[in-house]
This record gives sequence, C-alpha cells and structure tokens, in this order.
Amino acid sequence: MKKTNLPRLLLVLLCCLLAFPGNAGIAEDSRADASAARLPDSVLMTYYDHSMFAGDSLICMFRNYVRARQKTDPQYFAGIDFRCAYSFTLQMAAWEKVMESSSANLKYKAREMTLSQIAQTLQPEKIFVLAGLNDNFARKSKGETGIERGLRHVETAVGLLRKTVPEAGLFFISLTPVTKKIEDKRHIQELWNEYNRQLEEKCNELGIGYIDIADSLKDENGLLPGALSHDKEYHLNDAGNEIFAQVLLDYAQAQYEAGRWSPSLSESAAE
Amino acid sequence: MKKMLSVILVCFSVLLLTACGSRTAAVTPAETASAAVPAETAVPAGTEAPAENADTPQTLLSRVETAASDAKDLAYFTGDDLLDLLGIEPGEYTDLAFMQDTGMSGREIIALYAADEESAGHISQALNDYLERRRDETRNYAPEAYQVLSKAHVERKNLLFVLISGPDAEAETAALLAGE
Repeated sequence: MKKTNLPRLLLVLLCCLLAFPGNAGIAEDSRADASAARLPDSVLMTYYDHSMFAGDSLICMFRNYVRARQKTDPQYFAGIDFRCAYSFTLQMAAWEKVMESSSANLKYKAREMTLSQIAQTLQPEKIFVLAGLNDNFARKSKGETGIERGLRHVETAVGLLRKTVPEAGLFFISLTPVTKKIEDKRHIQELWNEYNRQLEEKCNELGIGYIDIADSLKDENGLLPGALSHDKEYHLNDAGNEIFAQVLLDYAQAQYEAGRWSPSLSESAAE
Repeated sequence: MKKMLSVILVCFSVLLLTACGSRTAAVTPAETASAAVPAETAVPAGTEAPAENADTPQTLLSRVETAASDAKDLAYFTGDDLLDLLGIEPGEYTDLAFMQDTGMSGREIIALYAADEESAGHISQALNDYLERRRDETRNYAPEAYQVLSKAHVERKNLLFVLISGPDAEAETAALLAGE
C-alpha cells in the first residue's frame, strides 16, 4: 500500500466509528433488556437497602431467619430495618396514632408507635408491609366483608405513608398460605387467595408494588407444606423463609430487568 | 505532515474505541459498594471479634456459646435490635449477647454488662418490661412460647444481667453468673 493512502484509510475508519457508536454497547439500554444476566444475590440484596419491613409474626420470623444468616454473611439483607409484632394487623397499619397500648404495636426504641409514625422517624427509601394474618377476613361487619375492610385499611395505610414519607417506595406483600391442618379446621385458603388477588389489584390501582410470596410456597394442593412450617399451621420455618428470601431476590431482579432499578444508581444515591 | 496526521488519526481512533468499550455492561459486581464483606474481615452481628490473646477475658458471646449448647443454632441479634426492642442505649452496656430462636419456641438469651450502676438501674427495668411484653405477646398467640417465657426471670450479679428462657435456663444462667 502506498504511504499516501494510509491517512485516507484512517479517515474512513474514523468516520465509521463516529457514524456507528451504538455497536460498542450502551449501559442504559442493557438495563431494560429482559434477557439481562441474573445479578449476584449480594447485589440483588442491595435493592432492599435503606428499607423498612413492617408486619406481624411472619415478618418477625423472617427477621430472625435473616439474623441467623447474618452470622456467616453479615451483608445478608443487611439494609433492612425490621419492625414487627406477632399480632400486628392491617387495621393497626392504618392507625395515625396508637389507639390502645398493647404488645401488638410496633416499637421504636421500645416505645409503641404506629407504622406511619415509625416511617416518619426512620424515613426509609422503601417500605414493605406484610399483615393480614391476624385480620379476620371471614368476619363481615357493618355491611363490609372482611376483604373489603382489609383493603380499606391498606388504602388508609398507604395514604398515611404517602403523607409522612412521600418519597418512599411502597410495597405490600401477599399473605402466605396455610397448612392442611389449618385448612381442614378453618377452610380459609380460598378466602386468602381472593384477598391476595384483590390486594394485587388494589396495589396496582394505588400505584404501589405488590410482591406475591404465596405462589412460591404452595404445594400441589395450593397449601403450605408442613415441611416449610415450624408450627405446621401458618408460620414459616428456615426452609420456608429461604423461599421468602428467594422471592425477594427474584423481585429485585425483575425490577432490574424492567429498568426500574440499577444497583449502580442505588450506590450513587447512597453516596 | 502526512505522517503526523496519520498518527493523530490513529490515536483518536484508539481513544474512541476505548471509550465505547468501557460501557458495555450496566453493572458488574465489582462496581457495586455492596459486595459481600470478605470472610476474613466479617464479624457476626451483635458480637465482638474473638479474642486472640489467651489473657484477654472471654467475651459474653463466647461465654454464652459455652454455657448454652444450642447457642450457635440461634439468631444473633444486634445492639440496634436491643435498642429497638428494649430501649437500652449502646452507652449503657459494655458487652452483649442477644439471641432468639428462628421459630416461636420462646427460646431466648440476653446477657449484658451494664456500664455503671446508673445504667444498671435502667437495664434491670428494661429487661423486666421486655419479658412482660414477650409474655403478653405469646400468651394467646403462641402458648408453648408463653409457657417457656413464664418460667424465665432476670438475674443479676455485679454488673452482669442475664435473662434466659428455655429448657436449661437455670443451669445456663448459673454457669454465666458463676464466672463473676
């Protein structure tokens, strides 16, 4: 090749590079790619950094499971602040202030406070609520079904949280299934399935997140297997809580694939 | 002149290729600040790092792990949990071991050294209030746990406070207090 052709060749190459910049790959486009690679669990857990998980005994058991895992992995869902009481209800989630003192109230520094009061104090970036186990959906009252009453409480709770922590992402988690032992006694699984279905609709209507953990816990009969429950009734054991954790990780992955969350953005926001 | 132009064009092309190539991935684990803490530097929540010197007094955690055979199966709670659940501030104690089971058996261990007599007064009240709340919480909800917690009580020797619930609570408490 003659030496005089080299500059022209380089000029053509330069023009090609400037004309087709997308071939090298752009970070923002790949975030919305549904076939994006699965992020490592340690990265997915950061989706829950600066978040509050509030609820009843199911959240208490999940908290204890996370604490047990943190013995060997201190970063295991390390960014979650847990607030729970065994008998916490959706009705209590809708309280603006503590209506009556009881062990069922959530605590902040050993003081009884409502969900919205604690949220206002902590100002978490995300709030996840799991309650309803202690709300009697089978009971009709004042012309309102149990499910209608529960969803009314959800809507009130969301309204209070939007007032006290307007910037926080809000999420409700489905009820977990019951075991055969409880279903044979109370025949409530169908009712809880309907509540979960309507809860998801309500969350969509309110523009908040909904996380379904029920489906992943059900056996072929649509119930909670005894092998996943430590009391063989409602409450998850370590194996059940491992599934709960996996659902949370899958949810975070889904947010990433949908372009609604990027770990790098969370990191820079924290800085 | 032409040689210089060629060199400039080559350099610019190389720079352009390098800039595009560095943005091929949205995230890599190494880019995040949330990478797991390396095992050799990780310290379990609610504990102090194990003593390396034989003359260094044992931590409360290691003493509890010796006294209670199932301690390592329990969930270890942190000082933050102690503050939220009992209202005991970090400055009020010098050492802590706080554990619960991952089920609802009522099995629980709290051991802490009060920083001084003034803190000891508050710690005593806080532990007793907490025990009462746990009993109230489990009375109708988890009767088995309630039975276990009903038999528990707060013990003190010098500045050491111990609250243990479980089948071997008495022996475990005695073992911890014996070291004082």
